Amino acid sequence: MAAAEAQYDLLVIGGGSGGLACSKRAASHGKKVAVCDFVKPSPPGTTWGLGGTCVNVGCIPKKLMHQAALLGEGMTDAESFGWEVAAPKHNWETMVGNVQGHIKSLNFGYRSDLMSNGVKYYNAYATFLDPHTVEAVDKKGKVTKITASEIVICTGGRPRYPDIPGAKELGITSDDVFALKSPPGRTLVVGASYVALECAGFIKGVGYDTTVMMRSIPLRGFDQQMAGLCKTYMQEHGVAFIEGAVPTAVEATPSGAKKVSWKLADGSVGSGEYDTVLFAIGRDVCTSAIGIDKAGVKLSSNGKVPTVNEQTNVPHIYAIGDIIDGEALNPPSATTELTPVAIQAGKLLADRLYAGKSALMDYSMVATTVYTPLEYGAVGLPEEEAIKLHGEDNIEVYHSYFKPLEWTLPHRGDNVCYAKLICLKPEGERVIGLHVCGPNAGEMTQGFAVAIKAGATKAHFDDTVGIHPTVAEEFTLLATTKRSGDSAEKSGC
Amino acid sequence: MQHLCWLVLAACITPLHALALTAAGGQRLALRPSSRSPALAMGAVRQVTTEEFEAELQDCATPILLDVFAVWCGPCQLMAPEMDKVAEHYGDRCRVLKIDADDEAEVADTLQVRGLPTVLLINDMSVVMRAEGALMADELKEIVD
Repeated sequence: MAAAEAQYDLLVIGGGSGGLACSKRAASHGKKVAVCDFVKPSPPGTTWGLGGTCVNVGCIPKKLMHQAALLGEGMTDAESFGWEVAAPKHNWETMVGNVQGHIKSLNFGYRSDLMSNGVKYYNAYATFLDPHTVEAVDKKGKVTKITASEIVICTGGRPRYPDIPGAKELGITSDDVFALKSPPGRTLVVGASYVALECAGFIKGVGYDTTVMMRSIPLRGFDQQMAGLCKTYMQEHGVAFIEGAVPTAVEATPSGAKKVSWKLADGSVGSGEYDTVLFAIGRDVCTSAIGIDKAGVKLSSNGKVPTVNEQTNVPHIYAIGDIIDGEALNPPSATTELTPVAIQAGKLLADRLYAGKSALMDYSMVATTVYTPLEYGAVGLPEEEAIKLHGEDNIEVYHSYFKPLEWTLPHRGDNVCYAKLICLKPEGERVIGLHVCGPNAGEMTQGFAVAIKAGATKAHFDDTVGIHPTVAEEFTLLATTKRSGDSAEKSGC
Repeated sequence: MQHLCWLVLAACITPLHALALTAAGGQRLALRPSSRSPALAMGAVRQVTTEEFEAELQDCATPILLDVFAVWCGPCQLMAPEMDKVAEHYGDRCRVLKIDADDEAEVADTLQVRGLPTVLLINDMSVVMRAEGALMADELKEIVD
């Protein structure tokens, strides 16, 4: 059967947040646009609908499951506020069912959105034949040859498996955990990325024994003092950590459990039995199986795409989202793999291509939040980066430990939450980094991100009247510098 | 309420057959006479697959009231018992069908369903009425009448 043929102004390969935003914006400028999206099943066989990682196997389900864990914590706290409730019991199947239902509604919304915007959707896997042509194959094997004047690649990434026996046969990843039909039971999470710690956090939070196996440091790329606070909180709330270890094999036991063997940094070995082994050791971008060489697009050694203003080395081919090489940006950015970054980049790109606009994507000062049990919000540079970039003498760090008012009645930990501002002294103490560990860190950080984007200095924070009693007001009250060596802890009763 | 001319739908239904054809391993999909048993069909809402829906379309003897729904859609659940009432009311004078928008996404796309539930009245292979959102039995009957 001869392949069907179709021609577009713009073809977007990958129906994640960035690709969808870009395609709809391009269509709104009167262009003929198509999106190809196709999810290859994960090794355990999980697959999902239109919308990409964030919607299906990322931000959305993880925040909902984080919320499930927070509610559990809240129910424990409730007693101190006078509520007399029976010991809560969590039902994994109910949570997964409702989360998956919500995801399906988002998938439907995206499809209907494309329809309303006149964007043609192909649920098909696109592979380049030449720089202007792809072959799109759907699940039934139907082939469509699509040519386009411009092409945006945004194929995203997928979790990496370690190259050890049994990993793919017996392990799962974040591609699977949000759709797990039965409860995870005793869980080993391998890795200490934000994906690893978030998953370990909510699995423990809804009631399952959870162990994290980490090779080196938690939350690589993030401020390490903050990463340490997130990890300590998890440890104090029952998550076990095996540090300096890498797994060497996973085997099925006769009872149906998974026996994981590992090797420690000192050469010694260990093993343990788990019901679920979740690998979260990093992600690989999906650029190796789309015939990208036929398009002539050059890749970095890690498979990512170097871009200048989203343009690849091939002038009519662009890249957005997880696949762009943040290290190759000028200045380098560690916050390229974020849904709102991809959306913004995609919209601005479509505006430049088809609406004569000139605004460029700014990959700096992007706020983000890690949804570990103790949430961590950040804008700008980690302290180590700030020092490396500007020199220790040019940096002033203001900081404070604090305890949210809401934690007082249930007597939850003193000096667990923490706020710090990293200021650049030669520029009038302009804030170049804001970090906070505490409840609702995301909500706090988003607002501060606007101020920091606008160039806020420490004086602006000092001049701002706080809202009492909130956690965020801590940032208007910061008086202790790290340099002073004075205690940033608050004393008890 | 929006009237859709069959021309639009007809253009879309063709590729729908093509999809079914490929699924059937390259053999032409036999347009079976409707396999429903009258005893079962009488007064009940029937959930159909893409293939079954195509077969129903070929049968122009009675109009079809089609509910495009999803299991996660609250208003869809609200409307389900109303559809039952309608099916019971019309008996064999109207086929009351429902189709899952997630499981049968091609049909939902072909029918240009942008919100759920969407109710379509199909007569003689044409969509003659469509409505979005949960409707009560009386309102649904108005569409059919």
